[in-house]
Amino acid sequence: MDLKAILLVGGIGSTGPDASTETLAAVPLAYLDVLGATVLERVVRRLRQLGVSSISLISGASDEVRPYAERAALCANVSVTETAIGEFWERAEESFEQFRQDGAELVLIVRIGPYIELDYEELIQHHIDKHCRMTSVISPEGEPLGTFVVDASRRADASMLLGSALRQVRDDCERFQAQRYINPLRTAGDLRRLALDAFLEKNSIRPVGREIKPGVWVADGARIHRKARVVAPAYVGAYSKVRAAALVTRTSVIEHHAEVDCGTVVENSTILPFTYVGAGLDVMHSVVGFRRLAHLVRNVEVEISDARLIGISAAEAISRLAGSAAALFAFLPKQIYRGFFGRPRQVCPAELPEALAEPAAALETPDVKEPASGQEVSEFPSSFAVVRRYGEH
Amino acid sequence: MESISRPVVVKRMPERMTLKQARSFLREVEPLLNSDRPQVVFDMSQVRHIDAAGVDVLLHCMPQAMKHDGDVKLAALSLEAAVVLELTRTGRLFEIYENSTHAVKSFSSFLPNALKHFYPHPAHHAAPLVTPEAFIGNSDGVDIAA
Repeated sequence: MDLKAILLVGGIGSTGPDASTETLAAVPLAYLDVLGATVLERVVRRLRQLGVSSISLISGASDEVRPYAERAALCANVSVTETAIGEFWERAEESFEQFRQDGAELVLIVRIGPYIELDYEELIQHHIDKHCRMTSVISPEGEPLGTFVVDASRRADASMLLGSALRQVRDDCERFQAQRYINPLRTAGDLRRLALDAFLEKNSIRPVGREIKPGVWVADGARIHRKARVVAPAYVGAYSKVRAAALVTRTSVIEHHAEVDCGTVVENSTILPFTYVGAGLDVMHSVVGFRRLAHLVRNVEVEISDARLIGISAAEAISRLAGSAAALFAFLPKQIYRGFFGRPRQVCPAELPEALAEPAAALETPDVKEPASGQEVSEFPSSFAVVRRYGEH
Repeated sequence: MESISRPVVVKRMPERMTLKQARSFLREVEPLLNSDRPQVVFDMSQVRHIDAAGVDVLLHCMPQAMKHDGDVKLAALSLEAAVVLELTRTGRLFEIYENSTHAVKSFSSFLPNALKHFYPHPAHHAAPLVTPEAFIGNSDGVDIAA
């Protein structure tokens, strides 16, 4: 059976009153990393395992977000169709028509959107057994989850579904209840919950990397300073840096190419890719990235424009290299200037004062007189403590 | 026990506390801080953007006031300000009050007022875990000994 899939990212929630949902700093949550791989990448991997021959990604994000969409599509190895938000559903219809002409028998339409761990084989089997035109996946509460199986021959049904932004289906649409893990992935808190559930093994997401000690996963190229502490469970992504005296604890996640500077505490938080977290900070219960901090307890998203607190590094390796080189060239003259004109270090005096040279009184043998007999001891009042040197009986 | 002897100055912080605004704000408050035993409350309800320069100003004002035997307290933190103060570990250095009235009152009472301060939290914003009345005993805030 020829099975093809259309993935929809950014169509709903990108405009109108829901503009802030399913995104962080306007980037769809599907393009963000969770323990080393994007949500999109993980969905694509599951579809490939199912035997889907062709996957088309329709991305309806804004121009600023386009690089993230392209990078996510590249990692997931799918062809991406970038489109303006107004033409999003038209492009989806065109993609469906293309698949139909290419000879597909079934088309899987998946909106990300919610992260669902489905038994796709069971879903397809259910669809075939029921001889229905379209099957909609619903939650145990009966809410549609944005995943559909459509017969490729049913062009009108698909057109109605996609034309209504997945809101209208024909009456004879079959329902398939998802029984496994479901994450609505609407807010940054849901993204954080996804990582937390992965640590607790409530879903099938596993960290991309090596478990260097129980509960601590480190990906290739990560650099953790020997004076930094990473307390399990925690994840440190590829090519990320955890500087001296930093602490990463309580299910915190440092994604790839992120940097945690000296002395910073990261607790119950996610640091998104290419994010720099400044020195001496307390990052708690937050998702940090794109110069923003989404505080999950206070339920607020704050833009932090000061690069000394929260910064962002370039996604391209050449740009990062150029930035590092520029920082080095700025650093060296400063150090040379300090070497010549700065205040000299205080040198300890060669001869110590006599008082310091003498042994401390505490180190001398204490002048404790042993009682000659038990009668003398009994003369002391009972409130006195009896002092005895260690090692004597 | 209550003695209102010296004036308490409540200063509202601007919406943006970046380098430029922070400098001008510091210029405004410096005469207050250099007076004898200054009692200053910074109302941070309007603050929407605060960066390291804004935090620096707060950290500069605190020792400046203490040098003259006074104190600086914070009141009515906006969510944005609260997040940045928590991020930079500055919040723990100040007494923080729900509103300016509580902060001003705290100057005129003795020890139990130190327990009044709480860190603003959305879940407890309407009803803080530690209410001033719980420690004072009556609404006048006079009967400290009881």
